[in-house]
Amino acid sequence: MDSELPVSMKIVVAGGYAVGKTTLVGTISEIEPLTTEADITVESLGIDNPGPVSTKTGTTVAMDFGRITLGPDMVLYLFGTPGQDRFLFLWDELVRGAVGGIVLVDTRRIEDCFPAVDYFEHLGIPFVVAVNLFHGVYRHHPREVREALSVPANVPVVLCDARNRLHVKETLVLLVEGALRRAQMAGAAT
Amino acid sequence: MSSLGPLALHAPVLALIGPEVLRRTATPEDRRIIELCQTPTSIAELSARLGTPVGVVRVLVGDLVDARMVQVREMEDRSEHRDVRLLERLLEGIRGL
Repeated sequence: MDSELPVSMKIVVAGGYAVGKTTLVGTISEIEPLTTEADITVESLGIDNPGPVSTKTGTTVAMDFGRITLGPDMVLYLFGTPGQDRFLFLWDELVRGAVGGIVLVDTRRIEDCFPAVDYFEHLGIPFVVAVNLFHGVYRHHPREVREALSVPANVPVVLCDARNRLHVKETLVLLVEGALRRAQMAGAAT
Repeated sequence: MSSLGPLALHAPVLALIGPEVLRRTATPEDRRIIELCQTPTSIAELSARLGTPVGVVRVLVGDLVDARMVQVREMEDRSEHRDVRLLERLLEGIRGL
């Protein structure tokens, strides 16, 4: 029944606020990045108003995404995570069924990407750390970033100018190679 | 409510009918979905193009599936993202960009 429907794959682009996620998506996407809105319910932890009023509030978060058609029967979507860590729980939905993740790092605010690294590690999702080159310069060697993040040795840490198509493509290749290796190992184990 | 489980953000939707087949009473949202899905279009893309939150699009598409006006490639049970052959094709596709 699905013969005319393409296989759809998904990669998640994470990292701190304003780290260049949408730029990265736009660099390789065949369409201008689109924004979609997801309604989420936030359990309010507020202390004021302890009345009979519901403490749940609806919030809308925006996610940017792009699309790459890879032949007649395969499409790849790149989803940027909503910019703030307090929406981390929304990532479950974004990350479910994802091939893997790119964690984009701005070395001026390296700590911003800690939640993303922790999240992917915790869920055992293949990921690559991409150190964004702002204005083509980098201040920290990837090795220093690796030490600061203490990511496992099998997680690649690369330099990646989010505006440079070749850089973005190479980063995607690294990520999918890792995901493929993992799938092959899982297949061999069963 | 649809008989399907939650539809993945990147799940592609394809119309099974042309917009001309829709009743005149069809809602503008349904009409737009049928128009956009003449070629496969993901849930997220429908949401963006319609300017409608993902949750609403899921319900609308679920109803259209039940009415046999669209089909969805339902992603969540499939583990396609861990399928070696598909990952090989994905890698090849990205390398060819």
